[in-house]
Amino acid sequence: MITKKHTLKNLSQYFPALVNASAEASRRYCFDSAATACTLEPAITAMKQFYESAHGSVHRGVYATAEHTTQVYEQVRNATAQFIGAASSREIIFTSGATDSLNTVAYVWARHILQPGDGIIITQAEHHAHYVLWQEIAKECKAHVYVLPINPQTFCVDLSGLDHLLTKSIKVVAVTMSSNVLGPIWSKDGVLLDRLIAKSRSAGAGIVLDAAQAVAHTTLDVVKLDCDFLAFSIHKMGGPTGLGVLYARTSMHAQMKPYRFGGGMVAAVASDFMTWQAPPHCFEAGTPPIAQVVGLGAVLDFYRKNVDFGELVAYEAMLCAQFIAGIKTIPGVIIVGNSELLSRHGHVVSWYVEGIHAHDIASTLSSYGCTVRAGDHCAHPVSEVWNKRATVRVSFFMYTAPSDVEYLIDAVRKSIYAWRAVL
Amino acid sequence: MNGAMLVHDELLDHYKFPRYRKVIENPHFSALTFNQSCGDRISISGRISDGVIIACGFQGEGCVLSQAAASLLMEHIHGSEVAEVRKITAAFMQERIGIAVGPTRLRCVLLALETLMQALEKNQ
Repeated sequence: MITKKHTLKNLSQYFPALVNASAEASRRYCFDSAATACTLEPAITAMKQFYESAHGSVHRGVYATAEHTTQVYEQVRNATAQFIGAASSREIIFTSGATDSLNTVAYVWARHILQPGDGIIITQAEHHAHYVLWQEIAKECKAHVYVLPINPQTFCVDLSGLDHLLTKSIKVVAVTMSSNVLGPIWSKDGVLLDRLIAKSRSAGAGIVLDAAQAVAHTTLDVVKLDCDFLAFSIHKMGGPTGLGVLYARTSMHAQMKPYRFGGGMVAAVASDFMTWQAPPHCFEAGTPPIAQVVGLGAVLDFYRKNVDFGELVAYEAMLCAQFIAGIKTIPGVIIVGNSELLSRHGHVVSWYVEGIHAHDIASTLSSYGCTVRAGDHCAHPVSEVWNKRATVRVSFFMYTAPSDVEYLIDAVRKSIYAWRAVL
Repeated sequence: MNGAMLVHDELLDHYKFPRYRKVIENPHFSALTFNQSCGDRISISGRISDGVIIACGFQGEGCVLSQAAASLLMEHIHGSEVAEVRKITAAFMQERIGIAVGPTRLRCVLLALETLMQALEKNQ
């Protein structure tokens, strides 16, 4: 029985994809927000208005509408800086997404500071956007990648080898704030990310944080985090696709050089030389995703007015606890992750069923209207912790109602029993 | 069709009782591939005599679709001329499994065929 929708402050009303699908017969249960979230109505409206009104490109035209567009674009950069506690809007680089942001760090900074024999520390739980990137950069720079393992009992990063690793020439420590498979926000308890950053900082390494799974689920404060770079995507916040943010601490700018060249990033060009602009503009060659940045402005405004991250963390954690309690008693269900931490500050729960493949479960759940993710979630190395089995991942967001989770638990139970009956 | 599971009895039968699940010794063709979206793997090996596949087998782990499709494919190619086997298309496999799937699940269905084609290509 589907009960009246209750979400955090009833925020689901701001997501047209959910409102439009509210008829129970065609109800769409969105449990794949960790991949991409439903889009906020204010962002859609702002982008529609932008496209329907006179506008120009940024930092180029001198006519009034182009000047206005430039002002709006830079105001959003400023709002983004405030959202993550950056000291200056010059520390905010717009990219095409978190993957692009991380690649930008690697190519504009790491490639210039890594020497043969230097080390890069990552964790086993990194998304491929981080893992593969640093493998490739290490090859190019003749550097080494050191992987901090995931403890198979706690599903947390094992820091026991960190002190030994930091005796080597570690130049980069690149880690996720929240694994897209395992879930908890690793800065919340002050025991993992904080320790890792503090020790790595003391050893002189630059700190790169992948905040793709954190940005919409906890407060980000780059000063408190003490990171040098931080990357995230806007579509995971309820904004448009095709836009990401890279925070680059001012003190790192001197070590960074552009790796994409074109209009908008140069200061002067002659037939035999060029100079480029100061950051962030020198890292935004070509016409940027202006409409998406306008959409981001509306997203940030929405978060400022409606989202209390303290409440949101507790709410999503409550949904995780509800889901875990509902499925853990089903025979054969194995939860991949730390249930206790997920029940304090999680938003994703990954699991598998003995004898039934994750794809089969996910396809069956789809027939019940539940959208979940199945597979290895672009994070192959972490699946080695549980023998490389594909998992089903469900993710919750501000618009998920407890009644949705109840429906999901029921659908999971039905799906498993249906497969058990024929296999 | 089994309700919400979207598979039919023949697929379930091939999944539960796979044909040709074996490794062929001293193979003339063999390959191993992975499904990039879930890490599932299929390996295929076989022997050829006078242009005909006289032995074939697969190994692997995966969902009902990937394993049943591999079993169906082995059954289809055993005793067939290599030249004919090379002409097997994705559309044939889609039709053979008898259910409609989206592009991501289609990778599961086609994993065995891709492996087979790689194996034959390598051993040309």
